[in-house]
Amino acid sequence: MLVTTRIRRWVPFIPLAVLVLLALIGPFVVPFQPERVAGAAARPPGDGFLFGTDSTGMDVFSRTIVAARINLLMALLVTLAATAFGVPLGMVIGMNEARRGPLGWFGRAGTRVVDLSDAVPALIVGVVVVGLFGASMASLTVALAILLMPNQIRLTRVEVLKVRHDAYLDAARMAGLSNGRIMVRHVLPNSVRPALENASFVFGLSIIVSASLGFLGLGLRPPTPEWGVMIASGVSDVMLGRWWTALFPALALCVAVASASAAGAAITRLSRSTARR
Amino acid sequence: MILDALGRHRWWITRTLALPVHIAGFATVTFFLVRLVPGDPVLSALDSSQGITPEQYHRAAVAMGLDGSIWRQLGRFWAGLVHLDLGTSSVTGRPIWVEIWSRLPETVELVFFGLGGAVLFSMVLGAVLLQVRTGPAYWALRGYARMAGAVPDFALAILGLVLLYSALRVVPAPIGRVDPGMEIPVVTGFPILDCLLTGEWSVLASMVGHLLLPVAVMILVYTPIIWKQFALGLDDSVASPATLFRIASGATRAAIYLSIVRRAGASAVVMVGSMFGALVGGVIVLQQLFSLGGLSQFAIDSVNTVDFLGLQGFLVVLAAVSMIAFFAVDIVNMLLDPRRRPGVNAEG
Repeated sequence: MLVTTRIRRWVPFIPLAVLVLLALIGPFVVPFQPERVAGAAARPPGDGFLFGTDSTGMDVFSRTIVAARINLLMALLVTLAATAFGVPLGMVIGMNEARRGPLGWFGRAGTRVVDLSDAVPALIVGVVVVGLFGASMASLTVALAILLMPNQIRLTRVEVLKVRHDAYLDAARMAGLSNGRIMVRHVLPNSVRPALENASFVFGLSIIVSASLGFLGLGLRPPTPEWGVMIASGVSDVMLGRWWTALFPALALCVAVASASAAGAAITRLSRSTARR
Repeated sequence: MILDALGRHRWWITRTLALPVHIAGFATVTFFLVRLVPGDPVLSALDSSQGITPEQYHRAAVAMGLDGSIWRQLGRFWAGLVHLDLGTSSVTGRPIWVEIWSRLPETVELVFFGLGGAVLFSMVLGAVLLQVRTGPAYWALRGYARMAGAVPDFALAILGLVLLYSALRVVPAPIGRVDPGMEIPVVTGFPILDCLLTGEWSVLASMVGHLLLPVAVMILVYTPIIWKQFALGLDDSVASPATLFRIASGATRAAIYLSIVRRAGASAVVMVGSMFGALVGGVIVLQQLFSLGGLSQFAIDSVNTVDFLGLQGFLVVLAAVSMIAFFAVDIVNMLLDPRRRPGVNAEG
């Protein structure tokens, strides 16, 4: 393979990599403390403040960069949790759905629950969970992970249903392997791919939902640097003609979700091409 | 005879009977979810600064439907559901059903325009893409299609506000549904429909101006998702044996197109239906951003005052709206494509 094509494959990951890097080193390189007043209030961009200052005088640039840490870390935790719990659950449901007895009952009930979860938008359940359990990074992460898990369960289950009757599983069973071992050694590698490809979608969605909650004033509290919170407090500035306080976090949000989606598309392409080989 | 007729109509009868079962099932899950909350909702609803007598506590618990064992509470909750009684909001003191029902129509109207616009726009783009197969326009459209699900609507709305309100001044300030001082007539509860019915043209014009940007944002964000689904369906059904059979048997061009669209439409209809359900809830962010009122304010007030019955009712009503949308989708789909009816075993 040509070196250039090999390099070009990694290009879609660059934006996300830059964002992750910013999230890691951001707090140490930004010019101002993100939760402290840095200068005069409502200064337009330029002149010492790259993105200007907000109505309390905090530096918008520093806050936008540091917010990447909170938004991305939360999305990462949510994605990991939703996948780590969703894939095994999807496997168990898919393998046992057609059986008799309690396991089969559990499988069928699981399928119904996953279907029912479609009926409520993630944002609304987020709103209710925050209303009932309070808003903290931990409660938001757990709530979002549970909300987005059905995506991963559904994808894995469908894949398991396809491989469930494959000959190599019968062979493994006849060779005397235990059910658990068959699941881990044979079913998992053959059914995990769609959920992994979907992980970037879950990642993007959890960024959007957490920022939406922040925007509604239900997520983390100001002055926490978080994109949704920043946009919410910037909207009134927009009406006063101070466009910069809301625009830059909104742009950052778009860039983050779009880079996650680009990386996801690239992962899908890569895994398809290795599968063909 | 009767059994025969029942058999023929089984597909929609069973689906119709399943709808209330699904709603009741979901409401029950919500009931238990809400009761998992740590802390005592009765205590947090009471003003405890001057101490609370047991009688006060008991009265508040009765008012919130929280007295007696959990099974009796569940029984009362079910009985209330049948009468559309979801309890009383601690924020406004009015029945929760009335609060939600008075706000639902304007929300549904907004979603209708946003989603309907997205469906029309995706059809236009699909037609354009059939004509244009090369050049920058083609690649621009392909790039746009890739954006499906990758742009948060309220972030795009902020970009739109900065550009169209702050810089160009072509849209009004995001401070409500109409210009300040105007009164929206109420007949059916659907604001635009009511303006049309009463002939309040100046109010209508103002409302259209205020809704222009939010609806445009919804169209721009949701078109790629619908379009992608429809395009996938078209690709599949253009090359399917059913199409080849029509061509081979000499059907007219119109009949062939109709057959393709009918088969491809099914998955797009499912998509639109589930998006409708998701958006009736999801649009609260845009409503809040443009101060359009609707369900958003009720939801936020309920959360901020920890109105436990309000949140429970909100969740149940929104889920019911989604399930009714799914129901409509299923029925439309089974009408469009009889192979999707239960008990039919055919090559899809």
